[in-house]
Amino acid sequence: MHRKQWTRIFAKYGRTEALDFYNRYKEELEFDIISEPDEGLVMVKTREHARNTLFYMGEVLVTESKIRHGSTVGLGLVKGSDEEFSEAMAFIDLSFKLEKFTAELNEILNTLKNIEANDVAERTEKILQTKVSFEMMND
Amino acid sequence: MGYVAVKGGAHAINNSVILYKNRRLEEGTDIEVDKIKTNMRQLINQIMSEASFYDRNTAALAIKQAEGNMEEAVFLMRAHRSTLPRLYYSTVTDTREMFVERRVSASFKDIPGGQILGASPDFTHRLLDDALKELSDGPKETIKYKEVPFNYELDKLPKVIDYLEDEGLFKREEENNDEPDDITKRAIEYPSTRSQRLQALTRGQTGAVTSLGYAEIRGYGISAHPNIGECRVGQQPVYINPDDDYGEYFIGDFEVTEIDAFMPDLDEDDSDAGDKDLMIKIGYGLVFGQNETKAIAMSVLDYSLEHPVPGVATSDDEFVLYHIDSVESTGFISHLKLPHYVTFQSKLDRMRQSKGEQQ
Repeated sequence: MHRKQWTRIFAKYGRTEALDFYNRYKEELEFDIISEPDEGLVMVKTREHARNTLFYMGEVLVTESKIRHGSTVGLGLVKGSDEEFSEAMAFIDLSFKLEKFTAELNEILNTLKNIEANDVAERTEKILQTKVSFEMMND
Repeated sequence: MGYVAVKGGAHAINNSVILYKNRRLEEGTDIEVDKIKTNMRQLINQIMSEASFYDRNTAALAIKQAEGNMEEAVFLMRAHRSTLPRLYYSTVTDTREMFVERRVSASFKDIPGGQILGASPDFTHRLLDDALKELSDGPKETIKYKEVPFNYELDKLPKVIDYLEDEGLFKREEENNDEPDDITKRAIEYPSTRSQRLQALTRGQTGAVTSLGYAEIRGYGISAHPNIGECRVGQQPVYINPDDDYGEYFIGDFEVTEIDAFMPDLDEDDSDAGDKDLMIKIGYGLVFGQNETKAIAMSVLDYSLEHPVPGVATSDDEFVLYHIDSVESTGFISHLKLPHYVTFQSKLDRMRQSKGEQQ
C-alpha cells in the first residue's frame, strides 16, 4: 500500500491501533532515535482557481519524530501535538520501508479501511440530508 | 533634550499582571480548554485564520489566556508560532479534493451535486435561546433521514466554474507553478505579487477584511454586486513529500472555506479591440475554518486588487494589505496608550516656545 494511503488511514482512523502495534512490536526491531517527538509547522501551499496560481494559506501544527535502522529512516508526522502517535507512526513508516510486519500491518489496515468506508458513508448520508430538493411551484 | 531613564514601575507592573491573571477566576469558576474547543468553535476558526496557524487546541488555550479577547488570542498564537520550526512545505493542495460538508451557489439553482446546506447559522432565528442557560448532555434533536439521490462523492464534487468553462463563459488559465512568495519570510514589497496578496488577505483580521470588502461593493471601488458562484466548506487533506522516495505523507484534514465570486468583465484576450466579449472573472477567497463572511470579503478584495480602479482605496494594495493584519493594526493602535512622556513633552515644549515667541 502506498504511503499516501496508509498514512491517511492511520491518521484518521487508527491512532489506537498504531499505538498498539508500536507497543507490541517495538522490541522486535532495533532502531535508534534520530529525533525525539517535537512540535513544528507545515506551511500549506495551495492552488487558487481564479488565476490558477499558488499561494501559502498558513501553517498547521504537527509533531514529528524520526528513528533509524541502518540507513533507513522512519518518519512519524502527525497533526497537532501528539508525541505518542508520532513515535508510533515513525515505527510504522520504518516497518513498511524495511518490509517488516507487513502482514500484521495490512491486516490492521484492512480493518481500518472498512471503518473508513463506513464513516465516509455515514458522514455523506448525514450531510446529504441538508441537500436542497427544489420543487417548481407550477410543476 | 536627551532621553532620561526612569524606574519605579516594576512593583506596579508586577501587580497589574497579577490582577489581570486573577480577574478571570475571581468572578466564577475555571473552564477546561477542551470545553472552549468544543463550545467556541467559530471563535477558534476566526483566531486560527487570523493567526495563520491551524491548531484547535492551541487556539482554545489562547482564548482562555486572553479571556476571549480576539486580538490578544491572535497575538498569542502568532507569538507561539514564531517559536516553532517550519519543518515542511505541503504538496500543492487543491480544494477539488476537499471533503465537502457544505456547498452552496448563489448564482445557479441547479449545480452538479446540488445545493448542500451543511451546518450553518444562516437559517436560524436570531433570538436568544434560554434553553442554553442549562447544560445539555448532548444534541436534543436528531436528523430526520430520507433517501437522497446523489451520483457524486463528497471529496470529488465538480466545481461550479467547470460548468461555466464548458459554456465558454470562463477561461481557465494555464497552470502557474511559480513558487509563491511568503510574507512571513520576507516583507511585502509594492507593487505586491498575487501570492503575497492572497496570503495577506487570508490571514487578515476578519473585521478589517469584511469592512474593506463591504466598502468596495458599496461605492468606494467596483460598486458592483458580485455573485457567489460557489461557497464550499469542508475538510481539506494536506500532504507533504518528504523526498525519501517513498511518496507522499498524509498530515491531516483541515477545515477551510472557499469562495469563488463571479464578476462579469471584458475578455482581455479577445483580439477584437472594439467589441470585446464579456467573460466571468473570479475573485477568490480561501481561509482556515468555517469563516464564510471573511472568505467572501477576501474574494471581493482579491478581485479589486487584481483589477485595480485608479484612485480607489480598495484597489490600492499598499492601503489594503498594510492595514488588515490583526497584530500589526491592533499592536500599533494599542501602543498609543503606552508611555510617550518624552515625545509629548517635546511637543509641549515647542508649543510653549511658539506661544512665548508670539507674545
